[in-house]
Amino acid sequence: MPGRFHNLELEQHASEIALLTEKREFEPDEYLRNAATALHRTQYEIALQMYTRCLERSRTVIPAWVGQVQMLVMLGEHREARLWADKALELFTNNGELMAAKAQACARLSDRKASFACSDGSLQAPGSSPWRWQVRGEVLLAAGEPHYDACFTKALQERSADWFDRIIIARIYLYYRRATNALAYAKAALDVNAAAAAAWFEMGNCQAQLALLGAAHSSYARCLELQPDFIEARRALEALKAMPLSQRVRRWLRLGGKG
Amino acid sequence: MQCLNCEFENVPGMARCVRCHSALDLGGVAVLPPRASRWRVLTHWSRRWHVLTTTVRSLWSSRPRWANMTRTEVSGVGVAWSFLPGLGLIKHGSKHWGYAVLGVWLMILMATVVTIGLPVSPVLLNVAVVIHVASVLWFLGGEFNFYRRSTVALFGLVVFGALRLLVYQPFIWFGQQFYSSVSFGNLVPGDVIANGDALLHEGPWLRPEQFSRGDIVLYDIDGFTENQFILRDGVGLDRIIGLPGEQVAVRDGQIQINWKPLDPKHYPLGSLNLPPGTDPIVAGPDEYIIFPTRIQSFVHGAVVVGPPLARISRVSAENIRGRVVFRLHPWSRFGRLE
Repeated sequence: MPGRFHNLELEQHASEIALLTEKREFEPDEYLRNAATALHRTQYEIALQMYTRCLERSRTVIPAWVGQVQMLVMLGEHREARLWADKALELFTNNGELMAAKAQACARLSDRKASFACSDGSLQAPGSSPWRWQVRGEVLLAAGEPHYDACFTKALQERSADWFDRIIIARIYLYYRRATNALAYAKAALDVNAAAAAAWFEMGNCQAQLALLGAAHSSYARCLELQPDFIEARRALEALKAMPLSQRVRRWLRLGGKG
Repeated sequence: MQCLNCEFENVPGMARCVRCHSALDLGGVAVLPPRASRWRVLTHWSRRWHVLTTTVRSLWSSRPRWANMTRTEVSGVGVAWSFLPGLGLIKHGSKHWGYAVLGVWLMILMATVVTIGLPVSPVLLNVAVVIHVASVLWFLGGEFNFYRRSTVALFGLVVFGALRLLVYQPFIWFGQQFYSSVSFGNLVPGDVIANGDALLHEGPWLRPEQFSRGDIVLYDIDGFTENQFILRDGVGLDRIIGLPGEQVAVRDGQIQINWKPLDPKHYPLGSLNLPPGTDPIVAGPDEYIIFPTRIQSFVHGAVVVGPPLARISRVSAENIRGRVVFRLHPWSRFGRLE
């Protein structure tokens, strides 16, 4: 018997199939753009496939290697992410972005020592990027150390930082159940780009975790206004409507997070 | 041949960059990342572990900072006045809510006292404590910046335990030193005291040194096993028949104290069903004679009850808890016990 998400799953499945079975080969940049789009929509599996396709076209695209590790982390496959980061670091020794990705995987595996070592290495490696500072902040947050927010602020001060870096920080906070902090960064992303559907979606996630269900409903609705094919947002909206009372009470009890 | 990692120009044909040792030829490198197993057992357990540790860590980080208390705007006077629910609110300016809380708390306390002896009394007492806790939390909540309701609930439990044990229990203990309530549910049916009656008996501070004949007392029963007789530990309730040193005998259904008939108003609460020829019972210097007429007994076969009866009936003075003086419930029979 089909569930309430049956149609949504079919839709997503259809769009995934369309993208993944596209016979025409794209340029690596095109694959990277597709991956970024999928990342915005939290379609991590599709993003991982896009990064892999990019590498099949050209193994020299380091951002694709980094993206693979990041997507494995977002999919919760932390062990595999660390393994793949090690493999990539054998090819690109001391690459700052890869070391940061490995640090994130180690942090989520609660391997504090390794995460600090990799994060230190990523900051010492040549170059700088918002990603390295975001991971530094996550490593400090995971370890319960102070000054994690200073690292996130530093990440946003990087020249290449954009609205989506605020979303990345919000997602990091949400992973560690700091919905109040996450909400602040989601709002900051909207201040930079009010037409970003992903920012509204993330705002909705933060509000839902804070048991602000009415506000979450509005945020998801605005996301869908901007991108009607944002399947994750529609799924979240359906789940919100169908949330049982026990789950609402549980969310209410977990309200907020320490600032 | 430029290294992709550090952009150093290497000599063609090198396998690795001489500066950063990154691979220069990526032709045969696999690009498919390893994936978690189909059932993803480790992934699921890893996620659950992360949820657990993160929740515990965030709860710990959200704990109230007692060291910061003096740096907040908590009114010490207001907190001190909260020893009486609602008073702190009144002193702090929320007069209406303060009087409402105080009024409700007093009503519930009165209900607790009125229903002493009934099962609902301890429940009402706990409700009163909850109101007290709520008034303290309400008063402190705005000052402490509680973000997590679960932390508030946890703190409320701590305050509940502290108030119940450190504030209310001492009052209850103090009151029980004067009078205490008791209720029986398995007495042999009788007229004076029925099953379910809530009775008030003297506590240790009001218990007299010497008891009088006819006093209805509550006493501890020391169990024993003798021949074919088994008696379990428990609590008994009946009139004192014989005083220390006296001899009590039953002849033709009449009780005799030192061979003189006993005044019927001092007879036991229940009926005597003693077998003929029961030997007289002599009370020791620190013993009273109390016939166990209200205690349920079960006899299987032919049992000689004389010796064990004598043993049960001789109650040591220290086993007597106190006189049962008042009946609280049912309200239709509220009053002193005759």
